Amino acid sequence: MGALIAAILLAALPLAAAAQGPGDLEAMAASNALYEDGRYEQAARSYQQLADKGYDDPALYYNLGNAYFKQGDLGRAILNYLRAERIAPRDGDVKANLDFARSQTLDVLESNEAPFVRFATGLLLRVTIGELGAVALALWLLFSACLLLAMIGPRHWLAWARPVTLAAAVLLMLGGGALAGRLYFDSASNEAVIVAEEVDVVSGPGSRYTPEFTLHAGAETGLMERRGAWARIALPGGSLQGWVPAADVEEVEAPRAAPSP
Amino acid sequence: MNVRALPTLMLALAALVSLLMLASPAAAQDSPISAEVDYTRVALDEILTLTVTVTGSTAMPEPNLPPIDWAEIISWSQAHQITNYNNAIATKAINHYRLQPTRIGSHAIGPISVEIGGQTYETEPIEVEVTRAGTGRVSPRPAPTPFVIPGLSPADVQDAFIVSAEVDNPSPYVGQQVTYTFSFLSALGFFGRPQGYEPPAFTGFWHREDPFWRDTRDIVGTRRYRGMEVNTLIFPAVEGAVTIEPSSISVPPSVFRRGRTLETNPVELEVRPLPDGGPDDFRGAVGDYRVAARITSGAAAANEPLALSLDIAGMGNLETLPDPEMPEIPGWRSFDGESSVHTQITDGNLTGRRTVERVYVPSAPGEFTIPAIPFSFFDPFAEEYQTVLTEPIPLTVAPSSGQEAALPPSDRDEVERLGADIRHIKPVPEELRPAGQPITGGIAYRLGWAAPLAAIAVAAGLKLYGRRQRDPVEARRRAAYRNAMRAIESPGSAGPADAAGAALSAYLGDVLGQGIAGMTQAALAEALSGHGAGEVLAGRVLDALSLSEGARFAPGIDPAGDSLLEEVRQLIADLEREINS
Repeated sequence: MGALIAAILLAALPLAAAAQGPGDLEAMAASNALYEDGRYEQAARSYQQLADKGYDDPALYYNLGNAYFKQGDLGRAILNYLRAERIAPRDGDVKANLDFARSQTLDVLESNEAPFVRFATGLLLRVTIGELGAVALALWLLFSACLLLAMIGPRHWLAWARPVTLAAAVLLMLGGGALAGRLYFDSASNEAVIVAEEVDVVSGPGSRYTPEFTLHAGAETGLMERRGAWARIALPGGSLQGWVPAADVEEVEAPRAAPSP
Repeated sequence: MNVRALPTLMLALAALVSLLMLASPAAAQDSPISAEVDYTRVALDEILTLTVTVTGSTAMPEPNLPPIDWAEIISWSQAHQITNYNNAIATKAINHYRLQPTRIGSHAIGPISVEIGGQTYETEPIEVEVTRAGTGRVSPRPAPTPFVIPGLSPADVQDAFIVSAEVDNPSPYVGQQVTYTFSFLSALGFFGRPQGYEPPAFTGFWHREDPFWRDTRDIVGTRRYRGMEVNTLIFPAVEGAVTIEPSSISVPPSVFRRGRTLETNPVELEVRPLPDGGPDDFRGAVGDYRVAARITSGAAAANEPLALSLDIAGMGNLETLPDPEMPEIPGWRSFDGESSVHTQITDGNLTGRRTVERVYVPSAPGEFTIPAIPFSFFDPFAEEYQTVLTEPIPLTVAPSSGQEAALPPSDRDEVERLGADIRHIKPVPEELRPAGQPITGGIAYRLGWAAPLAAIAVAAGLKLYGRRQRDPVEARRRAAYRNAMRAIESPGSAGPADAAGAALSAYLGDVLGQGIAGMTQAALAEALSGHGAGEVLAGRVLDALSLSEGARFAPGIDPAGDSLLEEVRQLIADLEREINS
């Protein structure tokens, strides 16, 4: 049974890993050298090219965030730290730099979520979907195995198979619930970051509409929709929302494609 | 003297005393109310004080002021004075009205009246001229109002007891020393220090608990007084207008007088805040101080304690003086030492010395200097902040005993953050993680969930099948209802009653595990009862079978028809429910 589980988990790993070329690692090393040399703009461009090729690596996003931060581009720095955090949520460096960059922003944005919701969300975001999925799958396999043994095994196996199956069922419910919650959060999340230095949020998709408030680089908002060259955003809590030029805001979780070989 | 003439002499003496007593009120017919102003000509920007004095032997009513439309009364205060002269009590109420003129011209303060003992007394009108702002004042220089004790002539009467309260500085700074003086004078001879002095609460002040006393002598009018002063040192703790409550003294009774309590007037102060712009190390000290530092104990050796004492001496409230900040010497550990304060009253001022001690432990031998220690205070006389400094103390710290090789100086200190920046970039990873669907989106992952589910379903099916294979009776019983319903739904060529009977018989055979053909009605009822069917249901079964048989053996008569078929359907459903339950 253990071999079966291992085989399934290995088979579940993204097949695209095989598409990575050695030149990309060299490009990453060259980007790091540019950064060490203080040429942050060239470093950021080089990191960005790697990211645009389809890599979703936490170190890549972290370094890209650093390169933007050193240029004073607070919005794109926070954007890339957030992308790194999604992949490596327990990375202390990512968290430290994200906190530091957030402390430099000009806008105070308070979430009005209930403390319990904020706590539960914080716990869920400490693990990735892949980690939660693997745990939930392992629990499901354990539960299934116990159940099968109880059904088709000798009668005297029932003595231990029943409590183990029950325990596995409870764990499965917890793991499955966490996985479902995280999948829901990711599907419902529309986190975005203001990347312009300053932007007026207007009441409609056009510059002729009334400016309602102003945001600055690094402000974390929700992206509700895009309409042409304009994007509709909402601040945490949803009490303030409006339209900004689409180029001034970027989604944290942009749809990505695997790198082409 | 003729003894018989003695009663006559006594009567004559008594008559003489009575005549004297009766004559006294006649001598006291002067008005008990008087009024005066401090100036008869004032300018618009000046304040006029109207003093109305009411004397009498009972509680003093308030005087009735006439309407004054040319000035505004901006304050009013009242002080009482009680005098005991040979058991004759006189009280005096002195009312001060402060008037702010509002109109230029010649005006008059009309008669001021007071009602005492059912009789109304009035003052004479007072003429006042109000001039434009900036012109001078003219004082009326009124004659002093005699203080009258009822029953005694004004010439004979002086106040027997006088109590008063005052402060030496009515507008001090916060924290500045003020001397509150309670004065008691007696014209009846000094009888020692009265024990019944009750000081005020001094709300809003820190005050020294041990006042100092002083015997006094004075001449008021034509009379000699002896008495005493009680001086209390107080230090304002709050800013603004503060009132010190009246203090009182109890005069004990004697052969010649009754005991009584005399109360002073309240005293008002206007406490000024300290000016802005104090030095950074200013901690609220007010007064006049000097400082000195000295090493008081311990050897100047590494790892051995030595005490540095800072003496603050001078004039001011040393008892509540805040401790100054003692210096920290790099590499030395330091601890709070003992503090002490010694104060005394010198020439009416609180003076003394406050000593603050700090213990240091040098960590290494060498040459050191204890830096100058600053101490800042506000000098209320110069009205400015001053900072005094101790002399720096050079010090040679010897190696500690038993410490042949000196340890390197300890640089342990709190970590101080000098700046903040982001953390550095990460090195190149062994491989770059490609973008793509998470593990949960892969086909293999979904298969991981589906495969065990399929296996469980197959196992359950196999188990069910095997169970049925092992127990055909049970299998027939489980299929009985389904088969019976199917027969009722499709009766075929047989009539409804016949089909109903066949379906019911087959169902009963499957459920009971034996055919019912040949069974008596009693045996069938007993078998149904054995499987949990009640009497009513068993009766319905027997009735249905009878109707079905009747229709089969008398085909011309088919009274049940479709209704029998429906009854059997309901009957089987009820049997299934009751037997299975």
